[in-house]
Amino acid sequence: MRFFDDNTHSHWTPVTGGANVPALNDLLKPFGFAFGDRILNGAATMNGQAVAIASGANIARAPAGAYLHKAFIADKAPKGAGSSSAGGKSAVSGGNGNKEHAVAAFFQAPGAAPTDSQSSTNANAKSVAGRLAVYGDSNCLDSSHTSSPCFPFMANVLEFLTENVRDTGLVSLFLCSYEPCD
Amino acid sequence: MLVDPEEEYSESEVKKLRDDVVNEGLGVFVVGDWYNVKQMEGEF
Repeated sequence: MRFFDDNTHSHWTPVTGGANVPALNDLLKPFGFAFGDRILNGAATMNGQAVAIASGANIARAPAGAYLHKAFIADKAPKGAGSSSAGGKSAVSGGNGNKEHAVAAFFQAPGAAPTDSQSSTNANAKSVAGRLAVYGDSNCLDSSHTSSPCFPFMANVLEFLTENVRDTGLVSLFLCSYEPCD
Repeated sequence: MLVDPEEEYSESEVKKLRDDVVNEGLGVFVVGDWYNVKQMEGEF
């Protein structure tokens, strides 16, 4: 990714890749999430619909209780770029050499979160914690790069986040029951 | 929604986001993208 800069007549190295993952991982650390350094390319099926992943980061760490979505997907990261966080258990080969990687995660934050969060008997409404959705590819949501429709997926994510809708298929499977979960 | 942000976050921002999710019920959609040091340092 280094490139020659005409003005300084020297080679430049970009400060960040597709996204500033170290900064995002700082932000996600209190929740137990972390992105990894894989460069995933392919598609994942969530809720029966294929969601394209052009150059996505894997999800290297998720907290217990998170719903993880995994996919057999190509990894375009340079060989030997050993990942300290994303190797090991995810190395299950698929039929075409692709490996299984976690591509999305959905999480009800801990806190006094009753299962019937809409219950009016809960006097302290503020005790109901919010939710997180973590996804490693922004191309899908970028109108200048999008290669397949992913707004239905995004709409489902927002339904889960805002209204705790549970029947969209995003949070019904793949419960991460141990920690760290990758 | 945090989609492909570039900036670093301060400690107070990290803490506020965590507190708002846990205590205030905030929902957050975090969308990242690739980040691989070898890929960045390579010629392509």
